[in-house]
Amino acid sequence: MRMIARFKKGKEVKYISHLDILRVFQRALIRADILPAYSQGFNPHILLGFASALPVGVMSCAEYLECKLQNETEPEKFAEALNAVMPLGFEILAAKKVEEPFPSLMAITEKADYIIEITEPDGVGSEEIKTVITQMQNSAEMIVERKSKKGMKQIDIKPMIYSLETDGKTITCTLTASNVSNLRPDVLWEEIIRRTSGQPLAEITRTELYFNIDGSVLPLL
Amino acid sequence: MNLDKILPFVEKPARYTGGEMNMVRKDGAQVRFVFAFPDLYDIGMSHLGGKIIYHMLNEREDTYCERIFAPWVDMEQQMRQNNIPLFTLETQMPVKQADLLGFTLQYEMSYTNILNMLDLSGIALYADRRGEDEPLVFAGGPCAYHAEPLAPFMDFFALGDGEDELNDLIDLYKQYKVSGKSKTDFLRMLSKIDGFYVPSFYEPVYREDGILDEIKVLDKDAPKQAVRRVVIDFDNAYFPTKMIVPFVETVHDRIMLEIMRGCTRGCRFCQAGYIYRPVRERSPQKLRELAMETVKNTGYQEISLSSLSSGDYSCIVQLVEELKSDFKDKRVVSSLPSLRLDSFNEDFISDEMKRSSLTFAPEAGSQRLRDVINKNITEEDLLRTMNCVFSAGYTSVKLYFMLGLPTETMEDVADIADLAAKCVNQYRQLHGNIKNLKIVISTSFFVPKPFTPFQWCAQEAREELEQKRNYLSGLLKKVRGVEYRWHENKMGFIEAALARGDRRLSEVLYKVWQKGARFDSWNEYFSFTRWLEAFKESGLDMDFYTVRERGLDELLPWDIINSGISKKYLQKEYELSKNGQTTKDCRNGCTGCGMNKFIGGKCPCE
Repeated sequence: MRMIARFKKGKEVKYISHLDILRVFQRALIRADILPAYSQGFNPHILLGFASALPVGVMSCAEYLECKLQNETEPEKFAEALNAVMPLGFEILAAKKVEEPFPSLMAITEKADYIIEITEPDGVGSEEIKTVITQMQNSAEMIVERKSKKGMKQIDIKPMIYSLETDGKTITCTLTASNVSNLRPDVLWEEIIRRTSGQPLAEITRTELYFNIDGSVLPLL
Repeated sequence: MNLDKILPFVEKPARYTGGEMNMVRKDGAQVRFVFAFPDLYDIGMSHLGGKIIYHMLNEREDTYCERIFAPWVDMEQQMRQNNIPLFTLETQMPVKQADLLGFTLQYEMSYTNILNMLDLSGIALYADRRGEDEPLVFAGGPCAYHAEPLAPFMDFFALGDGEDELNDLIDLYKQYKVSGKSKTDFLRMLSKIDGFYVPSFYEPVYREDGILDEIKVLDKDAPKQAVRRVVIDFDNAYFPTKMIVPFVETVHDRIMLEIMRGCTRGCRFCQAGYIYRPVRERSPQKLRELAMETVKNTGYQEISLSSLSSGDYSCIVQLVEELKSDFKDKRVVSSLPSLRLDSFNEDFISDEMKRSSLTFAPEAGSQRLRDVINKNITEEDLLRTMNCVFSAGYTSVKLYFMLGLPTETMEDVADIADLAAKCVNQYRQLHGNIKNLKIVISTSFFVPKPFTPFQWCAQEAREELEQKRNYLSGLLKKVRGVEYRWHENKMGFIEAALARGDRRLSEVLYKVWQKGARFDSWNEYFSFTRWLEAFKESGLDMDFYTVRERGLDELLPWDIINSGISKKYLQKEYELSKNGQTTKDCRNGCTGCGMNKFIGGKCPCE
């Protein structure tokens, strides 16, 4: 059977990378006595996947994983068993069984909500933040430079922003998060900083992940 | 401490944030202990010894043991720029606030990191300049037996198996903390306990020619020699079944289950084989229990059955089979590192775990030289094992050798290429061609180590060693299917100087650190010229420590330590080596090294 679960990545573990998180869950399953299913072939691996990779330093209350299990398991038991053995900072918030056939989470992930909370303004006041955000809302394009394998690349991130708002202290936004287009919140935040007069610090949290199910775009859990 | 200011700017910030599964959290413990591994987190968290000490000390209600590692160069830069002192992973406590700070000495090239970590902590580097309110700084681990170059920086050294003596240390420390006595009083009491060496109670005196004349005992209460501790009941020795599981991928990301401690083979170059005697095994029953518990608490799916020579464990085949069936459904596989060519068994290669390659260490190319070093491996052993491994489907094998072993000739070096070619032929006989075969030959330069029969040997001169390596390289180029891997680095020469160094080398250490040395075991940071400069500025000759042969009656800097192995025995082994005579595995009969006398009875595996 395939189980999907929504989980939290809290402040205690915000610097854990995506690949590290994969291992965290692989080991948690063994500790929780939940037997995962394995792939066939020469190098069998646990059939565990995630909807969308989260950058190092970003927290979340809307991460999703999917896992094929060897035995039928109740979602509540699944969540309970895992929560009893997860390291501090990780928590399964909800779980659900998936009826096959169902596409992989990664294939149907479309967009994500983020909150960027400014923790240290470094002289950049709320008026300045409002001005920068308004500027960004009104511009037709937003070119940022990203390092790629072949050197520096220029990418227009404006079309990857569904919405962008602020009250001067907190910025909320909805950005693309699919496997054809993914705007990392820290990249957006870097661009925002670049347009300010200082070097403010912020805490970034993903608050929702949206999936495309037969045309409807919504959270799964 | 606001680390969020600097962590976004460093590689793998999770190295510094702790919070791992099974990390210990504690409040209100009387004694604050900090365990320091003087290298990067990714390396240090693979070290079983550190986990044993960490969890064992944390079992004590009165003690909180936290960890620190050497911050990577990017993190160090951020810390210095932002005035952030070295802090523990568990609570971000500045290390300077600890009661006891213990470094583990696993290899000499980590010494400069120790100085750097003390400096980053804001702790005075020299022990005699440390205030009463600064932590007591000490070091343990294999190199502690011969760490005179670090002596001025350490309040004391811990010698031997840590399980018992560290508990004694804390018991004594607790008394001292409330007594109002001075550090020196504490050290005086400590020096009377077996397992501790207090360098400030001894003064080395040198002759005109630089050779050690005497080691003066300065304190009337200090023992004539510091004696190592041995844990005899190994079956019941502490094992951390709830061991900490790192988030970051470490070098060895698996459970290390210590099946045995010590080794009976007596290879003459190998220090570990002497200082970890006697051999003590854990029972298979105990190991299965420990394995079960540890998998349950960690979720690891690989167990490495660790020891100095796992193929020699008396019930190894039975243990491997039993573990296979114990963990069938959880798919936990066991692996065996450190396998000798003469005790290799095809049961050791599990079907579930296809490693990409297997590694063996013939060490020398000719039987004559292997006899000199008492390796006791024959060509037949090598080829039989190759046959076994190739038949099981392996196409990649790594073979380790050393260059510069005592009495080595160019013929011996040529014999390495010869052996490589024979291994290739073995494969060709089995498969008809050598299309997929990759035999990697890896060599390092022999470094004579204290407490071995070769502790009197001269290390071969740099130019000659490099010449031998180039010669071997030329020969191996002609053997298809073989790749020769060697690093252009001169680390082995510095290692050789530090390994048999005396207290005067502390000045070299201090100077080379001031010049920016750190992460000296890393190719990209090691600088031979920096070390040469430091030697020159200290007025010391590196050759005195490396290529000089020691006299048999010469007083050696590490003679202040009693390892349990008699010096006479080592001398006898040295003489035997000169004639290429071998000594048997002492499981087959005691060879008189002195260990049984040392522990006051028969060795456990006799």
